[in-house]
Amino acid sequence: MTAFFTETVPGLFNYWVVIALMMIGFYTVIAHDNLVKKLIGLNVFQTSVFILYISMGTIRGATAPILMDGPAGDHAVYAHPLPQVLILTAIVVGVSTTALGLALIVRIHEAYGSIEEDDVLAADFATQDAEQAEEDERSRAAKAAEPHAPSGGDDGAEHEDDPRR
Amino acid sequence: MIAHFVSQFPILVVVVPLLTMPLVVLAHRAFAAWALYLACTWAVFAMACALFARVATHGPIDYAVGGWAPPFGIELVIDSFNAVVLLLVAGMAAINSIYARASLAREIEPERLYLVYALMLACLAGLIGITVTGDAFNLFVFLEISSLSSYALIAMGPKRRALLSSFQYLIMGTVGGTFLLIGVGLAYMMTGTLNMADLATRLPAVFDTRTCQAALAFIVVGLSLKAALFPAHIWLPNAYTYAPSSVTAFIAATSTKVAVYALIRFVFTVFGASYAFEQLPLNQVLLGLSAIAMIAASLAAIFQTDVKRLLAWSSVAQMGYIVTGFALASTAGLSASLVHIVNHGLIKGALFMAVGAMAWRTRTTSINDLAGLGRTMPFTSAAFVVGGLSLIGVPATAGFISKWALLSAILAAGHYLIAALVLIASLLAVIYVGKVVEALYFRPRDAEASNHDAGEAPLAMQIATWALIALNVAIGLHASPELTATGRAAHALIGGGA
Amino acid sequence: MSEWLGHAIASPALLLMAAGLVLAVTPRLVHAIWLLAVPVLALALLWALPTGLHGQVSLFGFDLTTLRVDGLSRIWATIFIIGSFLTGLYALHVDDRVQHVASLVYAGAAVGAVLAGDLVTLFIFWEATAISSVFLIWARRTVRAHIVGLRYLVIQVISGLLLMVGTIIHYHQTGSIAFDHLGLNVAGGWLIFLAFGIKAAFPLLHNWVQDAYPESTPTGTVVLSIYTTKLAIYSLARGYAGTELLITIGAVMTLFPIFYAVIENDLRRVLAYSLNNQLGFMVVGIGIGTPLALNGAAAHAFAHILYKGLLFMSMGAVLYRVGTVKASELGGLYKSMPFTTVFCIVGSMSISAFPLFSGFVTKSMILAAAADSHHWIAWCVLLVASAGVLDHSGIKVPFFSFFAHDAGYRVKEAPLNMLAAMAITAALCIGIGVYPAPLYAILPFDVPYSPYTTAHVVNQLQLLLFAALAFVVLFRSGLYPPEVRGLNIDSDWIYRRALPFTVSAVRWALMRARDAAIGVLTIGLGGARRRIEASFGARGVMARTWTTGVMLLWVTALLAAYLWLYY
Repeated sequence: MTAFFTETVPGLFNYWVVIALMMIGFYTVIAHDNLVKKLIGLNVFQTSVFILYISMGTIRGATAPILMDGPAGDHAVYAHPLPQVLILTAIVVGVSTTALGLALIVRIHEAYGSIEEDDVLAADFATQDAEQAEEDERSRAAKAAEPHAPSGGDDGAEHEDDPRR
Repeated sequence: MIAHFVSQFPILVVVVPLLTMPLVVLAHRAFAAWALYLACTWAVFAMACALFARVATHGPIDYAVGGWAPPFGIELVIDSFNAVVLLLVAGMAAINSIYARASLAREIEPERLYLVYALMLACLAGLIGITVTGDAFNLFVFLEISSLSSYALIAMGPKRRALLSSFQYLIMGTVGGTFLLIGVGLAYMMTGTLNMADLATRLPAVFDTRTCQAALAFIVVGLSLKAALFPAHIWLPNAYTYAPSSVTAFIAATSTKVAVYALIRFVFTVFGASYAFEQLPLNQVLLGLSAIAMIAASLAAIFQTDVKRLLAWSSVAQMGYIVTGFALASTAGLSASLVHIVNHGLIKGALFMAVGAMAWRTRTTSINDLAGLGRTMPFTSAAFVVGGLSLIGVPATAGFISKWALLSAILAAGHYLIAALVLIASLLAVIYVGKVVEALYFRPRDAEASNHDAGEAPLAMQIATWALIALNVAIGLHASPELTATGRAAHALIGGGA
Repeated sequence: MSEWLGHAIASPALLLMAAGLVLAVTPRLVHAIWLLAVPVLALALLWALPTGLHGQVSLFGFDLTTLRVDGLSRIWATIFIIGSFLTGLYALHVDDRVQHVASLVYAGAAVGAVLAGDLVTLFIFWEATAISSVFLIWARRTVRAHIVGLRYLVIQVISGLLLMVGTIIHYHQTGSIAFDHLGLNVAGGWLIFLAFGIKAAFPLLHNWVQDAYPESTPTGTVVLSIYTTKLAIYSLARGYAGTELLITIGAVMTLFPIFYAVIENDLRRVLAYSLNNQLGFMVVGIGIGTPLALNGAAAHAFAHILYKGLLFMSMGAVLYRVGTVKASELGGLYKSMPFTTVFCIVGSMSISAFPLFSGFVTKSMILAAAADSHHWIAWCVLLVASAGVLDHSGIKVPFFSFFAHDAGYRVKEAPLNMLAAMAITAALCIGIGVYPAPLYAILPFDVPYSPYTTAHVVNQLQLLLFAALAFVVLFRSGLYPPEVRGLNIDSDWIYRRALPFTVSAVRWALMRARDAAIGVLTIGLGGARRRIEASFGARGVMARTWTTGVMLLWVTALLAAYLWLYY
């Protein structure tokens, strides 16, 4: 039990951080209405993955993977450079995503006057309902204008009178 | 010299659009930008054809980028499987380039047109990159390139609702991309390699670890998001509805297909079918989800009043067909999946183009506004009818080939319930296609609308639409080349080799 | 490719279909020549083809035989092509391109299906008939036609899908796609049987006929009445000859539509019911399965297409001129449409199988075959049904439209082309009845048969006499349905009032039962539709736009599910 706290927790400290950040980010994206906050949550979420990658490549006590002159350089223990290179790319991707997302938020604010997702969706639903009502009305009008339009629920059967009446 | 040039084709198909993109931005004027776009896409298409022919005759091509030998450097691999997808993506881009000019000119201000062309090139480069790369991390990068450009493209749509659709797609897409990144990272952690072929040889040793299982889960969910597989499809209908017409036509025909390609690649090549389907119950989950997708999305399509939205929902349903095929984990199923990837690309491309051509005239895509267009736009309407028939899967169209192949595979695997669901879904397709066709031909034109809008769409748009329709019919009539190619690809994948 | 081209040119089916598609873009002036010349060409081509298998092509991994010319397929293809000529002539005045295109493509598809040598080809043309024919219904351009058309299309496509699945199963089990005798015991046999059964309008699978055919245009209904159902009869004859079950099915088919035909008011729907009843005769013939019975089925299909077409043509002419074919609203038209009246009577005498008319020489073959193979129950049922035919189509249709009380319509005679088409058809009906040898010569099996024996003629005449008597009695006593109105109450109350009351009460109950069934179905379907719309409509749970939070929750749930499943 103590080994868990003395070995596992500190040993996997990075990964605990990764999970914590990931959950924080994810929660922010899910729970917050504000589009900017959502984007920030997304950033936190991505950052956790960056840390995941970098943690993979580290070796305890190793130096940065920079070529050094002299004998020290030949025997230096250095961290695995590949994950860091990879994550550099991923960071670029993340930055572009954030930039694009912010640009979109600016345009959404111009178009809707709000950056709360609920408000924007409500505005969309209002438009959609109005359009839907108009379309339904037009469908009805189009049907009524057609030749031989049957009245009421017509099922193709002849309705006969009751002979006993 | 020429041979050397030809041997560079695998990288050129990615690099040419990437490098043309800044040129397009520099060209700035709409016509010049379009001319560059046209030239670039056709050049890429020609190269894709050459690569396809070469793969068909000489087998897979491996290309080490920058001369760095795999597994250390990035490797591009073109085998019988992705050659087909490559041809689809490049071909759709080429045909779309004919279509795009007139269509975009109606929907986007002239001073921003060059940006659209540049973004379309970026998207193309990304999609082709996903297709040809043999490196798992590289795939993520290309996925993000294509996604970022498509978010921007969708936001260019004429209605303000395009903005929120694009933003939602951005959130979902980024989460999907990041899941993929996590999955690839976990696999890398266990094996120390990112090269797909190399991963395939090293992963079996660590199959029992949770890391490996989690890697597969993250990758499948991430790519399901991109492929709009139920229930991760919710972003798709809005994105397709509000994007500019030619963008929708291109993205709908290629983007989700490429994501499914990537999914198949990871499941079959990297992890191996026996691991994903026998040790883990991935196929049952996928079969169940795709069955729901087929029925639920088809039902949703029936109730749409907007043709683009209707087609978008139908796309979600059709993704169900595709996933069902490869979830059968048989050669026939995988082959059917591939056939439908190509055919559905052609069908949806053609249908969205036809709708775009109608929207070019009427400026809306609501079914009521398209009523009676059969008389004023006979060629475009006829194209929609043929495309619709292909979507239903009527004989002598490409859709029939897919349906036949898929049903054969399902029945051979003994999944009678799934077969019944596929049949029900295709009946639902009859209804939603019939709804549009009936409006086009048998309802009178709206009196006020017919005053100012009469006549056909521009010739270029019609040519592009009919080119795809002709391909649909050609495949429907003479399917053996396609079936040979996909059958070969499926054999190669199931056989374990790339 | 050149091989392909050769097959395409040689096939009468593809000729018709291609001609139909060309019609979509040709100027209107050539329509007339086209509609008449193309069937003639196709017929010449059909008979120029030697007996045997042609048009072998390889399509998506199957070796298809697109043309199989033998006795059975040739007689069907012949009558289909003759039918397309007659409907072309009949519809010559129609200024609606969609209908002309659909008719020719539909005819071509039906011919192609009949000539199909394997199940895949059959399926391809099977679907083509479904798709092309629905345009004839939609061409009426009414809301009801739109709804009915979609319903019709869905049912036809279901039939096609069943055929497809059956074929795939059959292929997987046996490795063969040949379309020869199948029987119910082979793999996929039941599915294919059901697919044929839907198109052949088996009892309980029949509603689409009465639902859709009367909703088409005046000319469209004539076209529709020719192909789909008879194609199914051909397919049954090819694949299920001698299946005992068919005798029962056919016998039921001949009986039950009679009641509905008698009480129905829309005369085109009456004809649709009687179509069903006539199909029953053919199905029984196929079920018996002896060469004579199959010959009878083939000959009856041949004659049936002509006289049923003639009846639909006359009703089409009435609809075209008067605007309605409701029995209660028509009457006395013989004054203004004398030629149509005569043609209609020829059609009714043929369908009632009067000697010297086409129905007699063909129907008697089936009856004789039933007697020869000792299917006495079936024989009796057919006899009763034959009497019923006279009552509903033989007398009712011409009587209520052209005679009965004068409804006061003073309209022009039908257009010349309609009259010409009806005249030719009527001439064929009489010609076959008087001199059946040419028809017998092209029947699939070589069985000697002579219709005009004393026994046949006397039997039939007696039967007709009694049936006619029944009609007169029923009509005079006011029992005959569409003219049931109030009567004076007198001492003859018992037989003049109580009896009619019972009959009309039964009839009323029958109608109510049908209305209720349809009502329940409509409400049920409407409710289901509303419930589905609630979930899948624009604001429904399944189809609305959700916030990204909800989308992500789903994704998280998916991920969790995967992880949980894997661990």
